[in-house]
Amino acid sequence: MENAVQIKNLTKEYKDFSLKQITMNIPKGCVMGLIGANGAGKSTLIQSILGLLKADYDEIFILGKDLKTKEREIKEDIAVIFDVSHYNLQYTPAFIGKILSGVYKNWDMGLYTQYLKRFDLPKDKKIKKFSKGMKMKLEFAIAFSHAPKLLILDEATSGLDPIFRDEILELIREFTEDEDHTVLLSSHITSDLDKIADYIAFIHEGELQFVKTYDELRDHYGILHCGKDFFESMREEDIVSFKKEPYEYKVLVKNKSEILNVFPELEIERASIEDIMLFYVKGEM
Amino acid sequence: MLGILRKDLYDTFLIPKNILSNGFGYLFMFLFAYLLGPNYYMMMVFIMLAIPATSVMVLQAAIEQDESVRFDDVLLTYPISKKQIILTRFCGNLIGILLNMALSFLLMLGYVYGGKTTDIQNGIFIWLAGCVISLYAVAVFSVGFYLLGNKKGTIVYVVSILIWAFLYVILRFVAPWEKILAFGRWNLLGIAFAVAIPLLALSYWGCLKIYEKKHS
Repeated sequence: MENAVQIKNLTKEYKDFSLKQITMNIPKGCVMGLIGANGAGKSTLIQSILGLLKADYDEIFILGKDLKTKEREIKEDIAVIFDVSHYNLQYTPAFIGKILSGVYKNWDMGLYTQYLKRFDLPKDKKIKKFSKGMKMKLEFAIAFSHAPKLLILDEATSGLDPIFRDEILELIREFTEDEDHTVLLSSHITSDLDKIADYIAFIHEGELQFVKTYDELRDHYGILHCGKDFFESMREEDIVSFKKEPYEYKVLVKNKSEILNVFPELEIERASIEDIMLFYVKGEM
Repeated sequence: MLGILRKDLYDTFLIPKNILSNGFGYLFMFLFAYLLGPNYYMMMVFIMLAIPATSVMVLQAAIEQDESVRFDDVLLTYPISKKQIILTRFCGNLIGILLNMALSFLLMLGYVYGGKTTDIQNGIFIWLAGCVISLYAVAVFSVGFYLLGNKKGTIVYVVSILIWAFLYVILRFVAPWEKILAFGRWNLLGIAFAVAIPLLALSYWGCLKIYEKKHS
């Protein structure tokens, strides 16, 4: 499978935090959800692969190009959306279009105007009069108007109400209908990822814990409720993490079908992405 | 680069707050010049001090607006290198200087032909000296703004202007400008211009290093 992003041994050191030896690939045509608690290193990772921060790495290839030598070419094909708009509130969408027509070689003003119409965004109104949802839609109009192949969203859905978030997810879904289009979506609203992600990468305290397909997480991970005796009889390799509750043990397992084959009477509930994240962060290993 | 230049010029000249401050600034200067009448000393103050002091206005306005919305975060995702970002800002400042040159040229003509303050040759010399001083102002203050950001940079900028004005007044008594300029003044201007070019290049390099450091 061809990769849209290839990262090998990426490290970024701060005085009080470091991103440690991240190695991961993002397959072309997929939606990769990047999850982790606040301060886990999601934004640092995104900023590092965009070259916004100077990080150490063995190699980063984006859309088949080396970040070290082809950064500008790579950025022609990338759109990045943050949680807030970084455009001056005095600007109008029309003026932003003029700015960006002088920035991107493949900026399509006609397409931009079409998106503004589709999102009901008045092109001559100052964005200080826009709601948060309208500003986010403007970001999408901007992002889609230079034909990016990789869309990176850094907590872009946070702060939006569920209806707006759903519209945004629909836009992402539409974007990925083209198999050349890839999305890296960092979010701590894991329910969004449940709806859209093909892969989940989980980062905790600067370390990449896993990269797995969403189907694998859904089909193989589960939360087992059991008593102390059963818990103590379990094989270590079956346990990802556990929580000791007053009357039971809650155990995150990664092979629920195998366990259920042996113990069909056990109660293993489906683990959501949020559950998995919470077990990794707060559970005991 | 063109897009960013367009943005910076908009921030400088079309943001309502800046339209007012720039408009009133120039208006008051021309009004004062008119009210004070034909005064050679004030002519030099306006053309060689007050107008060059505003040469860095494009960078200052751009940094002020960018800091308020953290525009650098999105700017660095554009297909533009850091070198191009700094170069664009220098180009913006040079456009600011061109605008200032045009205004100070009009002011000079007003002094020469309206107030009969001095002759045209001397007027042109003072005007050119103001232009060269503007290049020095851009070189020095650009580094200050990149190093300190908008707020601290503006404070240092204002303090520097006050020191500059103070030295100017002191020199008026210790070694009058007119006498200094009378001594091979065209040669002096040529040397000053020749020095300004490498100084601008050095300033560009310094600003780039500061910008790279800030975003590393």
